[in-house]
Amino acid sequence: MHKKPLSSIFAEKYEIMKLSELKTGEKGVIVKVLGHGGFRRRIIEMGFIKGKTVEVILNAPLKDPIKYKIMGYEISLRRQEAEMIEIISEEEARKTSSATSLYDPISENIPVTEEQMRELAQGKRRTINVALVGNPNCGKTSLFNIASGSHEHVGNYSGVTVDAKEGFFDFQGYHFRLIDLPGTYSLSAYSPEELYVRKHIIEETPDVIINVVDSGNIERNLYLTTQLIDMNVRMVIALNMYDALQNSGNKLDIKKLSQLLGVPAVPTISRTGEGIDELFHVIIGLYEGADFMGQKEEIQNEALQEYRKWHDAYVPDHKYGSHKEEENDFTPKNFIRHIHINHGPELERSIEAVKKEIGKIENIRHKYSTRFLAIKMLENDKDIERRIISDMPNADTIIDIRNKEAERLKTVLNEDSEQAITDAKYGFISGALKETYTDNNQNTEMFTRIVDSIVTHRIWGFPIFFIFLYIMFEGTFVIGDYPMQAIEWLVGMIAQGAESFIPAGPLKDLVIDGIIGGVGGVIVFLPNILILYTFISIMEDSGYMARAAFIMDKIMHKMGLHGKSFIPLIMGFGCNVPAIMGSRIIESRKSRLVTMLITPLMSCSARLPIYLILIGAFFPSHASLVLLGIYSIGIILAIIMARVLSKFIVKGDDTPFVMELPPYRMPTAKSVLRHTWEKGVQYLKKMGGIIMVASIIIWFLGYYPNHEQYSTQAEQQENSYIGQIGKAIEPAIEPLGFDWKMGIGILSGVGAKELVVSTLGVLYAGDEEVDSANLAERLNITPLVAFGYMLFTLIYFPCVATIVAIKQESGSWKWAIFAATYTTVLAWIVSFLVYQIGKLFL
Amino acid sequence: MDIQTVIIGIIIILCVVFVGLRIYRLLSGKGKSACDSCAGCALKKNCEKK
Repeated sequence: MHKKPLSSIFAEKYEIMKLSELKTGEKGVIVKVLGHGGFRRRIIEMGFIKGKTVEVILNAPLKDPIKYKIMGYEISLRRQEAEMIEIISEEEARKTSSATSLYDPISENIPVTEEQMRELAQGKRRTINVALVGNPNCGKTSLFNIASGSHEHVGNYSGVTVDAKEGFFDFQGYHFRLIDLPGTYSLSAYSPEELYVRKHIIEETPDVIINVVDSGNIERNLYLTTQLIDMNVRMVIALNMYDALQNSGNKLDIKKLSQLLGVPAVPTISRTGEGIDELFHVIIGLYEGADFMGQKEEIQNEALQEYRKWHDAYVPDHKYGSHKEEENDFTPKNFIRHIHINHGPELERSIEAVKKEIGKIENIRHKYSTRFLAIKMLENDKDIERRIISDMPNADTIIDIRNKEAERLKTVLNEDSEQAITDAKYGFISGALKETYTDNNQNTEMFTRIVDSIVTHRIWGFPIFFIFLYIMFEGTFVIGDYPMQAIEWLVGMIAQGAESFIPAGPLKDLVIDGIIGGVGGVIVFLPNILILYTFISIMEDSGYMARAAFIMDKIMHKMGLHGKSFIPLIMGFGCNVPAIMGSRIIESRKSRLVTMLITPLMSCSARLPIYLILIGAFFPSHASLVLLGIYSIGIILAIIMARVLSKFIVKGDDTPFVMELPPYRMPTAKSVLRHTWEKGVQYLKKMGGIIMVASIIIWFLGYYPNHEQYSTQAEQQENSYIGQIGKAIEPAIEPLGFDWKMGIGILSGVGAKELVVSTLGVLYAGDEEVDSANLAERLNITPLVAFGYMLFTLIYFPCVATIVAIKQESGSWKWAIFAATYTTVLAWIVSFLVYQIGKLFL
Repeated sequence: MDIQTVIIGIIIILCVVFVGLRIYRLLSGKGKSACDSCAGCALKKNCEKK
């Protein structure tokens, strides 16, 4: 007699037992964990991995949670969570063992070992439920027919007039249950088909979804893909009708697209069957491979060994690549990772607000991705609202928050949230296709395409971009000059007031020289910075900044960075602190880190007073050229350091990610002003606290000890604490041509770069007020030394606020200290070379 | 020691305490993350310690 193969047993009577059905004292072996990616990941991290034995410690009816013992630990799971875990119990194993032989008597007392249960669980796991999802007419049904052969039957599922077909077939040791769902353009709540497909995905929890995409209409088809990504389901993209794409002359970089979306994509031609084998091979790898990875991306050996055994048995000729290649492909950083479609800062803020409220209810998270629910709420999805949200205890609050956010979005974006989300998704798709798809048959009627063809032009894109930049810098200084003078006048008035009202003594000196001198030096530049940020806001909100990132992408790649790095680097010309915070838009950790580390080399506006004073004193006839030279040297050094850091210092692979290309939109005044205001407040908060405290401390160190003992201020400074420190470091800076006073200037610049000017002014001027001419006479240095000093100021130790920002954004003091150290060492080397080599010629 | 010097001493001590507290909060991770002060951050999840 022949034993029935396991696959057919399970095909005939597909009974699923859930972990929640096990009674107290019973044991089971885990077959698989269902549900969306976030939930599965959490459960797997808790130890509920396929093949593991789990014992029920306490499962009382009406009692929640249920207590389990797994891998020697006791863990509680909610009943709803336990319902998402498929197991094989001893009872079931006993029945199945007996069912394999027609002649053995069925005994209730057949002992079943854990090993047998594990084998049966493994066998059961070899059934993969796959659902086909895609637009109408994308070739889903052809694919279904060719994959499943003739083993299909049409089911008319009750209550709806939609059809879904079910088919079975075996492939490479696995049994597939394939469901062909109705074609749908999206997963909203408007049509019965959409609702049915969505319900199937959530309720039936297929193991893998095949998202069939018509390669000839890829942009429209990917809209559904983005919604599936939101749902955080395990999926593979079948780029169907691929021959049509090839014949059209258009090109698609499939590997890059897979990496950007975090979803494997396989080209198929369902008409002929080409690519179908590879598609299901990839599905098996995805199904098994997703459990490879532990929390820290270390490979789970047991899962890996099983995968390798299967591979050796069924694909010995390594038709789809070697073991190593395939294993590498299934690492999250390459093809399988969950990404968030970035909807832009305003929408993301709203999504986060709604998600936070939804996430408060624990018992919803096993079935739904909270982010998916939040996005649906903002899309005013009535079905989700009625079926899921309204049953939640905090339903009113969720709806309230949703309504408030929708109102806010309408004001800020000038369109309703549903439309904004759709636009953002298409922006994401545009960005992804821009990098991977070459459309040789483009129609350029749309406004966005016409403008893009100009501003992202291979040749004209650059000069246009630099013109925008020039307008931005010029505007910053020309327009900013008026309020700057007004603030200078105000600071002068306050100083005069303090002069008049505070009695003479150290307190008066503290207030005037320390606090007003220090803080006043920062506030003076506030208008310039606000204007700069206004321009940057307009460029961002209009959608132009995203294009700038594309133009600079190639250059950035040569630097070892990503196009998106360009935006924070440009912001660094204003102030390094928000530039470092702005590096958050870079999703790759490696690129983000390198960008942060080279941002201090972007000469911030705080260093401008130093340049202006020294250039005015030593290079009056070539002022613009020298200033441009200083900025350019900073940029060149940034490029060099980016390469060095990417190659040798910052470890890790670069995760590819999409640069969104949102449609152009007219920025609203409210949005621009709000962004500018927020950034200005941040700047003031961060600067004000640190600058004021640093100014006071530096003043103190320069004032004491024995302030009264010396006849001139300069003499007093020399013998103060800060003077002693200056004398101590003088040997280190002498080879650069600097004296101890310049050394003190350098030290004070650690608090804020503006303090260099005020410190030099006090040290070299004695008791008098200084301007460039006087300073030039008193400095007694050559133009070469002055140039070296400007270079040192450009490159060395960024200010404390920048260091702290690097620490906060990188999450580690290691990188902040590294930034401080390498910049100081680099500054020393550059100034040394300039001075020593320059001395030979001048 | 005159009153002004005393006041300065107090101010300096406060400044040093301020710097010390700030450093302590940063080192211990208890400081307010930049995220909380920056409304409209698109990638808040990136602010979380990896």
